[in-house]
Amino acid sequence: MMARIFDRMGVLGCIAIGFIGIVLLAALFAPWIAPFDPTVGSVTQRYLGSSAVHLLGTDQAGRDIFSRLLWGARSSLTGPIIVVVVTAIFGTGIALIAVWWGGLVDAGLSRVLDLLFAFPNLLLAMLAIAVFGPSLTTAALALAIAYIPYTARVIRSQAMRERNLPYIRSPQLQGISGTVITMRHLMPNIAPLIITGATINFGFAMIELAALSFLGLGVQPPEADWGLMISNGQQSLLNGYPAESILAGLCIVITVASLGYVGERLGGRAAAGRKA
Amino acid sequence: MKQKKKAVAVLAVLALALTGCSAGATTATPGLAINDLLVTTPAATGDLALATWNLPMGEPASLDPIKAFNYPENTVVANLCEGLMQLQPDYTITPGLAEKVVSPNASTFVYTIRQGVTFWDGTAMTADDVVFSLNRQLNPDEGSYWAGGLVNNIASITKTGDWEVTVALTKPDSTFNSYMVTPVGNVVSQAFREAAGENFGTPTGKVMCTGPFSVGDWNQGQSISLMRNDSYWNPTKMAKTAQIDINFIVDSAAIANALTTGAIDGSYDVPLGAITALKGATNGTLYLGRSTQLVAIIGTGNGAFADPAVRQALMMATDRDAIAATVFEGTATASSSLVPNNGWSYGASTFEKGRAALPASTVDIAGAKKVLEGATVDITQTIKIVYPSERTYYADIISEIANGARSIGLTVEPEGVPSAQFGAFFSDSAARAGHDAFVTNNYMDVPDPLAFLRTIVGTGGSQNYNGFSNAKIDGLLDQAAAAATDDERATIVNEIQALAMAELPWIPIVDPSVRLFMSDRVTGVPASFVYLYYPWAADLGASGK
Repeated sequence: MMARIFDRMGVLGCIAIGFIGIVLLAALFAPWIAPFDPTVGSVTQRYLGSSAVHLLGTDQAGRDIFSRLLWGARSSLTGPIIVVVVTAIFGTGIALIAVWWGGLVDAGLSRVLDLLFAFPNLLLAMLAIAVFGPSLTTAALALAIAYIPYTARVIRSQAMRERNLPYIRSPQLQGISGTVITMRHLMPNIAPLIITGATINFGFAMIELAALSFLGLGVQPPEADWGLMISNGQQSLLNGYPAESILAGLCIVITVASLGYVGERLGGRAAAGRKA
Repeated sequence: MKQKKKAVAVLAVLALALTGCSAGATTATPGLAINDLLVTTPAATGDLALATWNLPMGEPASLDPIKAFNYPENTVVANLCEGLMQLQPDYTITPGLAEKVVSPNASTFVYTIRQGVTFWDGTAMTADDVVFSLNRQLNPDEGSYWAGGLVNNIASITKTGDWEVTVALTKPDSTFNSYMVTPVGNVVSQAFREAAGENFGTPTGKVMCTGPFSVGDWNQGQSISLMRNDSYWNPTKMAKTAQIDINFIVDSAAIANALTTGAIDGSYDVPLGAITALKGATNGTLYLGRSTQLVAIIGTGNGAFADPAVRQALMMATDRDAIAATVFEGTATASSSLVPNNGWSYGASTFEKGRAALPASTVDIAGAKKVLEGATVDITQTIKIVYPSERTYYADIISEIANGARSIGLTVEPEGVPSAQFGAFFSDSAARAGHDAFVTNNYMDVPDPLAFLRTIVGTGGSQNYNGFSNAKIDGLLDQAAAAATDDERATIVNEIQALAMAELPWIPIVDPSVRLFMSDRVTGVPASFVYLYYPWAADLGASGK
């Protein structure tokens, strides 16, 4: 099993998977691993250096940075998961409806997607936040809406090609319903593309949600979130205490790079599989 | 394999470097002796052709004095438009555009208008301009931000002689004259105002006043140039710098860089995030000045925070000294009163006694728990304190308040909102609905505790955001406003202060000092908190270094 994964992903891919695994474990087990409450600290304990008590020191509010990084993995992963799941469900659904019915339905849905394309992702998210108030859920759902056109368009083009292949045409001529054909035959063949897209979207969503938290529009203090930690750490950075911002930044960069690499490899394998 | 080991080693060194290797890396927090706070900086020794300044709170929305009601607008307008009286760096009040004022009683103020004063366009300032300007405050069509409270108490503004204007009040108010240093007493050209229409105060319309500087170019989003008024009526206070470009940089890092590299010569209100960098600057000096500012938590009348016992307990459990020493990096002192320390221009010994009689700012958990027993609300409710999310130091303050709250069984959480939304908390009761409390970096308009307390604890006061009302306090406020002597007024104000601290509509946290940075090239501006109403830029000149 391990050899197979190593064979498929290569050395860097395995390192990336390992890092993603660590982040997932940190997110899942943060309540048991984190030595301190990530939201509690005292300014009298601010900027403590690395020690046996505080592995990565404390931030400007005297909170344990290590604990905040562990808990921060939760919100930093939860947001992108919401984005990816919503995007995959709706993006794929829209694409398949457009492809199966074609004609006016396809044209109509395509124009709606074009309209959504006109809005920059972050702008759409900010508009939603201005209306519904800042929170991770609002930011994630707004970003998901912004991502749907990208996913839908990519899947539509692939599904369009599959739609005209004999393995789809043949059951259709036999009178099998479109829903059954789509679920049994079309979906499995476009699934690798959906998974690859979701993996890549996950990275983008993580960066954009971190940006929103950085701007104070996503996760709200005192909760722990990597984007928020970069923002909170700005003053510390100026004061000569870069740990909070840089460590949170590193977590985002390495997680996004790992996801991107794994996504690329999966995409490559899927394409190779199709060619074979 | 070797490469892997190297990578691990590099990461380990990086982690150690980032986090510091020992627990000794706490911030150095120099003590702040309140008596050491400066009033002025060394006087300028020569003139300058050009100097650059910064407004860290951003660009003014208008230069119309009646719309100047916050740091950015007032810091600029103070150099352009003058009042009938003028606030001095030592908080004394001297005649300005009025040569003298006579007050036969606390309801009547007779101003003798100074002759020989001209606006920047060369036209003479008259008593008609004064009457017109003061009446603008009362005209709803003008939309003065100063309307209400003090302004509502004006019964009439009358020209009672060629060079005399008389203001009559509906009820006695001995603080009225001190407000003539603020934009309430500013004089603008009537002819210019009427001709400018809706453009008055804007980048296109600008203003026409009598101050030591006129408005030069206003590059929106970037800078405003102040140009020396070479025909200024007071030659002894002629500006020492021909042109001052005032920038609007708000980012802490950018401000620190601009100041430490000399790209900008100076700034008031330097952000807390830039303090460490500026303390170590080799090209200039960080001055700490005497101030009348107050950081406090304002109750909205909602939730558990609406109970005075809860507020009192929270204050007693909060380590205000720690906040002053750490969050403010030693540039503030813990506050024990709603009146900022030294925020008075009369009755000093009386006010000092009154302040000394108040409970100290030290943490008292046992006392707080006992006070909390008297609470009549459900204290399990989470108290949410709103702050502008762009200013993270507020989150640190609330975090420390939450620590104290936790130790007495209360739950406090910060609630960040964008600055644009936060501003509405001060003007719109609908914005405050559903929130328990919010932070403020407040200040006294004039160095008079009566004037400040009246806005907070007076029924219907302009800063009374939680419907606070106490008949005894209202009676004392009226009594103090009508007091015949300063000492009598100070004694009554002490009584109001004690009652206010018992009811605590606001929780005072710290008294921040003025944080002023100037490069070695320039000097002369006041270090005290007068730059909102005193023409500070006129004192800016060459240091001779």
